[in-house]
Amino acid sequence: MDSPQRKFKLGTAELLLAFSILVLVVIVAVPVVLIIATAFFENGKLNVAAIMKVLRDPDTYMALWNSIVIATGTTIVATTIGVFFAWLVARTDLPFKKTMKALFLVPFMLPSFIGALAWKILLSPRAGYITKAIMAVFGLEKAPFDIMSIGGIVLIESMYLFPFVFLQVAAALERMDPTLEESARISGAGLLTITRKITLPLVMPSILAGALLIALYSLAHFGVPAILGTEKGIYNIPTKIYERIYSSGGSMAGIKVGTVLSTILVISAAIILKIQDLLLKKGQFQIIAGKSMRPVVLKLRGLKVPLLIVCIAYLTFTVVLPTVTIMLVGGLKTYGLPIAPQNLSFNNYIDLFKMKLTTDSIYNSLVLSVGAAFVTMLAGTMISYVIVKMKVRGKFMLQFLGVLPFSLPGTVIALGCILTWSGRFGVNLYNTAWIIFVAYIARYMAFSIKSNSAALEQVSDSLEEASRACGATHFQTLKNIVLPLVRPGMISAFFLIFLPALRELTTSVLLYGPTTRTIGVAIYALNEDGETVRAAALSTVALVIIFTGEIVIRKFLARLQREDT
Amino acid sequence: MAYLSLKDVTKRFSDGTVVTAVNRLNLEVEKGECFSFLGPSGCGKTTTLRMIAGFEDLDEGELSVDGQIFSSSYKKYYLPPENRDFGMVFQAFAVWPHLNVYRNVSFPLEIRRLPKHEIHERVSRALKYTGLAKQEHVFPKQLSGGEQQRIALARAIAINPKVMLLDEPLSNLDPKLREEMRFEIKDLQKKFDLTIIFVTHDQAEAMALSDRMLVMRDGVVQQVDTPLGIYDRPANEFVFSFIGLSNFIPVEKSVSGVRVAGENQAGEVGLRPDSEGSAFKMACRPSEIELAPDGAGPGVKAVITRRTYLGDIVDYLAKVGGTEIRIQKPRRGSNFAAGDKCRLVFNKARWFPAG
Amino acid sequence: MSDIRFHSVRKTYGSKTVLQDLNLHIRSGECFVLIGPSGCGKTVALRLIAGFETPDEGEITIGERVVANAKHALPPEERRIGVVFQDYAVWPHMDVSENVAYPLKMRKTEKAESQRRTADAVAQVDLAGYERRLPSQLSGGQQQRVALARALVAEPEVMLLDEPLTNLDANLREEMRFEIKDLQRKTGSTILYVTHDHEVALAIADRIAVMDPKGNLRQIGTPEAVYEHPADPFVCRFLGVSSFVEMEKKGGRFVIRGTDFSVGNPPAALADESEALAAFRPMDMTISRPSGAIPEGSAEGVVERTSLLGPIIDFRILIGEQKVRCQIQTEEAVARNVIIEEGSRCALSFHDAKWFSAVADGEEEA
Repeated sequence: MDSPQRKFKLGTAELLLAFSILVLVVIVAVPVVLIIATAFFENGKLNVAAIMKVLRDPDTYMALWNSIVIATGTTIVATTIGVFFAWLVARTDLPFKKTMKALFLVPFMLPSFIGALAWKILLSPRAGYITKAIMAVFGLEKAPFDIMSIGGIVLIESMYLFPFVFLQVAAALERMDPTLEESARISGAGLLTITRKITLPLVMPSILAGALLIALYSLAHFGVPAILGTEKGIYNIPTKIYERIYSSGGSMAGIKVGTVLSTILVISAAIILKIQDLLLKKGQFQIIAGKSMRPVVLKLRGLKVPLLIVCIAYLTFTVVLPTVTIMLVGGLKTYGLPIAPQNLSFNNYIDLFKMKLTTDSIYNSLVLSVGAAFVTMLAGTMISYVIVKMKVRGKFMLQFLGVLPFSLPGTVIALGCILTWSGRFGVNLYNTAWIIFVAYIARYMAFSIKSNSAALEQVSDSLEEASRACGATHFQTLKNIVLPLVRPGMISAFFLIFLPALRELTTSVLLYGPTTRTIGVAIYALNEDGETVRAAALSTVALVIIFTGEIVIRKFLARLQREDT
Repeated sequence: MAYLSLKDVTKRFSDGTVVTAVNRLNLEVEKGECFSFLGPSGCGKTTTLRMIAGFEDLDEGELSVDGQIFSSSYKKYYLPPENRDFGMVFQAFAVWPHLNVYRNVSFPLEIRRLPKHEIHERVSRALKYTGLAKQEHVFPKQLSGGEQQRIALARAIAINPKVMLLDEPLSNLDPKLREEMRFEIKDLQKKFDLTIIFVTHDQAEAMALSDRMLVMRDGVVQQVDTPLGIYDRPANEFVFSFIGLSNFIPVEKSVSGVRVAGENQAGEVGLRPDSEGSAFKMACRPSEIELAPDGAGPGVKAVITRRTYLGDIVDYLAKVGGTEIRIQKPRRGSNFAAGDKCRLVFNKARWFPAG
Repeated sequence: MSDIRFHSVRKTYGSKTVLQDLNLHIRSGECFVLIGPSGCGKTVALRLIAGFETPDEGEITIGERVVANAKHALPPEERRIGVVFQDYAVWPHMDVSENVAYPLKMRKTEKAESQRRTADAVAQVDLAGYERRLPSQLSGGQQQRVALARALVAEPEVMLLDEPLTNLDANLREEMRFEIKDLQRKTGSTILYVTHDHEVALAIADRIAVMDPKGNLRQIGTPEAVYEHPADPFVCRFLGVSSFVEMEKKGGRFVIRGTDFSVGNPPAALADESEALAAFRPMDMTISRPSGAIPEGSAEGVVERTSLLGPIIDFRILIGEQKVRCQIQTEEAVARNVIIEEGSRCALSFHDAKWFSAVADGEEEA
């Protein structure tokens, strides 16, 4: 007679759980704990005095105030732009809608600090090309506006962040159940009344979700305030943290100030996420249609052409102009010369590739982003499986740790990694590429978990159970059934991480060493050193790499999708 | 004169190739009638309803309601949906989640700028008759599917519509609730003297609810009749097989009548076809055929090959040589088992051309 | 072949006890249907046999083997069962033959034999020619057949079917019912079929067990036995349309409350009661159109609703203050001219009645 096996054994499930906990604790939990510990404790004792000192410092206030002002301004402006264009694309008969929709996502691809660099070149109060032109035309003594200001930061950030809202709202508008509007129509309401009383309230949750994402991003953003604000002494919290750490030469005192500021940042981020959560819970409406039918579309009639021109103008202004500027300035023989063929040369670009700085930074960025994306993809898949599919106690801890990085700005993660991996536990990764590697994994883990969880949720439990009933062990089931089905989620996780990691600045700017610069850091460093032309040239190279990467990946993903269906 | 009339209405869609979704449809619905459109998915019934509502415009033909033309290809006229004064209930309820029950129902009345006290009166009345009087301030997501559908009904009734349009209103509800709601709709129709047009793919629903109905296939109307007429006197093979269960038995003319094709030994079918020809398809419902024990007497000799107990009804499969025939009899008084020989007695049939 | 036994099985989720003390014997080779309302625990019972859940107390055996008890449980892959799920659970990234061959692959069956048996199983469910198709290219009914073939291919002792027909439309459901019954007869495997649909249950079962919302078995028997002689009102209501009429003692006989009309033969057990419940199936009464007085042996009623449901006409009739439901085949109704209009009088004669005590348990279905 067969005897049934013992209930508790070291099986596949138990190993997965243990490993997942290990990864999340080491990569996410420890850095966060250390930040809090360093901020609040001195020599093992709660030290409030030091915290108060930092909080009372007028510089801190200023930085916090600026952060809030910039974030608020950016959110309002970007949301307005985003909703306007989303509505145009999803709900009117604007010509070339499909193309427009794709083009509106291009600002997303442009790293905003490169955009800031371009606009600085164009609009800086003294040397900006456009500024000088306007001053000449109107015979002005002083620049009519200053891009290196809070207003300028808000403007530039909005330009490149609005796709957050655009995507969410356009999707909601397109997928909305048309009978919700049809029933309003048959009730007697005209199109304007419907938009006002039905459509807008129903997409409000999507608008708010996008707006809050923008607020979160802006609060934690380093690049634009760094390029446009630092020179004038305008700091937000991330740039302030950077300034404190570098002005103190990386000393513990500077780091301590950094941790206190980080805590403020994390608390603000947590508050925003909580608000978003509450708003979404309260206002979450089931408005998605099952079958796809065409939604109600407004006929623009006479406004068609003018609005199309507005869209094209916007895209030219925000995408084409800065890109062309960067390309041309990168080729200038000397900065400040007017942009004319005799002043341009290819030599800059050729010289660029002779520089070790360039080749190193490109190599570093590529290796780090591919490596981090790959590892994070795998780890995220494993952790998602435990969270979504396994019935174990203590799952909520994993869920919490998995989502935590969403509310941790890149600066904070970098700081946490410095504290964790500078020899405290016997491992010193400081100034090596590994510390950036680990920071990227922490930073992007949440994306991987989110993407993989979404894919896993599509894999119904019965698919696994059917495999077990057919005689497959848990491990065989994972290999034959789960992994193949979750592949799309894994791949999208990879690219969700690879591209942002390739062009980011916020995290690596705090972690780089002499030989471990990333592309973002290299451009930033060149700008700091006043080498505007070189910075522009390297930016152009970066843009080429990024755009090529985006297009190649999009084609690859499209091909995969077609294979899978 | 008909209250709602469709004349030669045609609708085409082009998605690469041109598809005629509705082909020269003619229909007259009387005031106070409950009229249903029945057919397989893709037959054009929903498109027709949407043309009546105004969400699609007809390519050819004319639609008029209560003497007024709503859409005409001849006169190049089209009245948009918001001006047609119809009440409509959708399959997925389409109640607005951000408005409570009261505001959902009062919305169309507010659009019409009715005075406040009249709005209140109408809304209260509509809610009372749909059983939602106590739920005025509740939001849709706190209510069940059936209750949400009632909100939609109340909203449609409150405007005293010319015509009520229902697009598969009960499909998303579970079977017990569906039955209940059928009766509620019927009651509301009587109480408010409504003219109702509704679309469904569920035959039982169409037959239970309608005064008259039409069966549609590939854009063409197959038959317009009362439910009993459609069931008992189907116009063609399609209608016969679409509604209820059916047997199509190949038969050929014999000396004294008709025999099952190729089964001369089995005996005569005691009926005569009503048209010329030597071969037919005899169409019978399983519940029309009598089962008699083996022995002398009229009927076709057969063998029971399958007996399935269904509760009140017993379902038999009988074979006449190579032809399979299905019979359903009440449990009371039918005691055949698989393997028994028996006689099939035909009292009624319809005749269609063979092949 | 094997039989399945539950010995005093108990299963709890948190504070909710789904199965209290389940004892059940499913005989080898029979098609056994476990029917009950949603959430009653019938699916849990199936999952316990499959191994997706483990019992808190008690024991489950398949044939000679103890597959699970409170201390040990055989994992699903070692139980040699076939399972068909409600959502088919056909793997979208594998084609039909890969899906069907999977159990053989897991048992490391030799290639040639695996191909032969897969082809056999595919043919058995009428899908020959579809081997290379992906599930996304198949209809719901075809996917269900793939699931069936996959469950059959390894010739399991036991087959478990969890509401496999719920997601199919009415016509397909009927067809598949017959196919499943045919397959069972051919293979002779023991089948446990779980459902809430009484029509399917009556049509395919050798024996039926009715489970109430608390997880208790109310009655086990053949379809005829359970349908025509239900053990209590819950079973009666659950297996089909039924009318419950309150009866009161008048002049030594049971009459319909509010009338003088007496019905049938109440059992001796109720002889001393002053009240009782009589239950009727819709075809246990015959309706007729009275011309003048109500004939002897029939009760007078008023037709509240007449519904044509295709082959059946359904009447809701008021007798006194009680409602009963009567059905008749449409052809007969037309022939005897008994399609009575709503609001008109009718005469009803009753045939069988199922008698229950008036204080019958209040265990209503959900």
